[in-house]
Amino acid sequence: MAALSAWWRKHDRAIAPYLFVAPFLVLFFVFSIYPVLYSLYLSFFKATGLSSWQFIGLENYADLLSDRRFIKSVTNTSYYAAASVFLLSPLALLVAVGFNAGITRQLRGLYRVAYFVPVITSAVVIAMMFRMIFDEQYGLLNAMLGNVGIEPIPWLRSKSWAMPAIVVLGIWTYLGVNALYFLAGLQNIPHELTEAAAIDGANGWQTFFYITMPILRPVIMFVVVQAIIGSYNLFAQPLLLTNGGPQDATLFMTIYLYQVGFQQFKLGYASAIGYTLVLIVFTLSLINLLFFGAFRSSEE
Amino acid sequence: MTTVQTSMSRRDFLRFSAALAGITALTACAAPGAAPAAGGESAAPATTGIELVFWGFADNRNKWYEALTETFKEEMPDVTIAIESFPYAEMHDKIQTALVAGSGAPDIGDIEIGRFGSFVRGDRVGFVDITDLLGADKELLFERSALAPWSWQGKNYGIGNELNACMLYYRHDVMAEQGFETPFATWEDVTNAGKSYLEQTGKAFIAPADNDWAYWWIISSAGGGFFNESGEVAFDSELGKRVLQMLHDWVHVDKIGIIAPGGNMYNQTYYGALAAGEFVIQLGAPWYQGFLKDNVQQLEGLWQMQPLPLFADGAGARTATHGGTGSCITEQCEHPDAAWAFLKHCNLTNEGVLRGFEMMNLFPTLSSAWDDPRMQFEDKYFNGQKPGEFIADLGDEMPPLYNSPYWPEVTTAFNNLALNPVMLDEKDVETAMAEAKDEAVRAMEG
Repeated sequence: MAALSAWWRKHDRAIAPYLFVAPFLVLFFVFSIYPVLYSLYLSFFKATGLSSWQFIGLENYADLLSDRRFIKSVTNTSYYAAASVFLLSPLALLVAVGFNAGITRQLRGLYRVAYFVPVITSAVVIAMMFRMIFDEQYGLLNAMLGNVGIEPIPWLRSKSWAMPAIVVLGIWTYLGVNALYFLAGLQNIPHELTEAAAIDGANGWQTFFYITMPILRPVIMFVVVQAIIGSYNLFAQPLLLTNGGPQDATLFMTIYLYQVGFQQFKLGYASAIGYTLVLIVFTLSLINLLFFGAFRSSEE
Repeated sequence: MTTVQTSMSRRDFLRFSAALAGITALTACAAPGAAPAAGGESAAPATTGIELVFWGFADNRNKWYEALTETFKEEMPDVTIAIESFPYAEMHDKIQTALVAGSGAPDIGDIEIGRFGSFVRGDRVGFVDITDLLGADKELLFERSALAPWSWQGKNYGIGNELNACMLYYRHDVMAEQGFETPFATWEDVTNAGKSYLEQTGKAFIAPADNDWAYWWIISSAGGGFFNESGEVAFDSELGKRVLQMLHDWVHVDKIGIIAPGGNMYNQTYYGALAAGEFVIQLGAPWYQGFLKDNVQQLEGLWQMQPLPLFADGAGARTATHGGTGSCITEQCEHPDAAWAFLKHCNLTNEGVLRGFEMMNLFPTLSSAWDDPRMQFEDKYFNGQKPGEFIADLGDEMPPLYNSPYWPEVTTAFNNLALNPVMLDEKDVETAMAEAKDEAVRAMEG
């Protein structure tokens, strides 16, 4: 006992920090790391229903390549991701620039709340709300469009409109938080720089493209990576709004994964979908980081 | 008075905190194992009896079970039943996960008809085979609704209490005003009445959905529905195609139908349109009667029900089954006999099923209860008609239901490649059915 006590006295400072973080790490390993690794292992098996598993190597992954519904889900998810990156993110930047420029100075507080409320609203509530907004006969959106003579659009029932409807939902939900990131970035730009540019005769556009944008590069990179990850992980909203329909027009990869895993009870195949999703997100994020020069040293 | 001064050195504090953190970590590790097993006894206060956990997803059913736990106590005082409620999808997903994991499943679970198929995909089913437990009582049940949907390869794994004989519901005030003869004898009569109604009022008659196969299923199940007896894809039967063509024509040729507002009968928009009189006919199982009463109370007394019409050449059936929930004992239940005793109390006693009928309007599958005077009440909502009389009359004509492990894939293929393209894009029925069948067969082989 005395020896143990002496040993503890000698090592307590080295060991204590690990014990402090242990509760988090234990839970993290048990509930996050272990299932993630186990799922990778599972993806190499044919594990259907309550059967004993059968090792099939990469067959699940090979099957995905000829699975029409899977390919459709990848296309749909990529469509949404592209809209997040090329539509939502620039819009968020525009809103942030507006805030920063003081255009809405009088109502700044109100606008900030209005833009931020969707972020803290439950995905279920948002989906329910948009179901009513997008309703063909009684929806608010078609009623508004009707006032300017536009025929009712079958937002959630048409193959061509369902995805744009989900993009609109995505923009409404995530515009605020992305604008906030950009706003934080904009407010960190030293005033002297824009002032100096103005003295040198730069107009607003030139200041924006040659001063603001380069300085905002890390924020843009962050927003884009977030948009990519968020888009490929989007689940609750399309599930509740369209459940992947009509005719799989809004079948996201996550919805397909859920359908395969729980409705079809094909756990190995669902795990393979999950890991393909990981691979796609990882690759796209990496490309994005390279594109924005995240790995370049600052001296360059 | 002496004051004991206790001071703690930094080293003591560090030692104490580290020990606390270590204990917390160990507790966290132990928590999942030490948590009361869902199938087990430790969730209740100390008791020498048996505690069973029952997971359900439908509030009305859960209330029914709650009520019956009280009367069950008189039968088996040592057994306590804890009814736990979950959302529909979450409950089924959790049961599947717990059965794969080998622990954490409840003793009994309510399994909805459309979700049972996924449980029979593997080498084992995950539920207790109740065939022997049922024994001679099987004869008392209306098998097609009580057992068939939760059966696989000749064995029964669950018991349902709803005899879901579908009917046609119509606004009798509107029909009388228009001078239409009711009940409708044939689908052709319905179509002709619809055309005349459209001409007179400019309004739609009926509202089939474009991506909810309920109407198609209800009318065409006499031709085999999605599967035949051998488990093969059968939705492309002659009757199946004929029904899909009729649904298409109602909307796109005769214009007597509109695509269901809001998509289907699970949406409030649908009832808004129904209340506004935008369509006046509806098909549905007896549980749909409850939906109508809950959502369009203002139409009380204006509805009547009738058996499904047949086609003029006699094809079709006067009723069909749609929906239902069965109670299944999971393989993790340590007291299957006690669990079965409770299920028997709910589903195989007149008092149990009649309580359900009174509480939920669900017509029981237990035939001995059908003659009870309580079953013969006149329903004000349906203009004084007796729902019980209709269901008892139609039960025997219900076409069989063939469930399949591939139910999710096949119904998805049907929705995506047949129903939706035909109803929305006006695709040719033959082509759409053939494409949907190819996809369904491919999915079953995959």
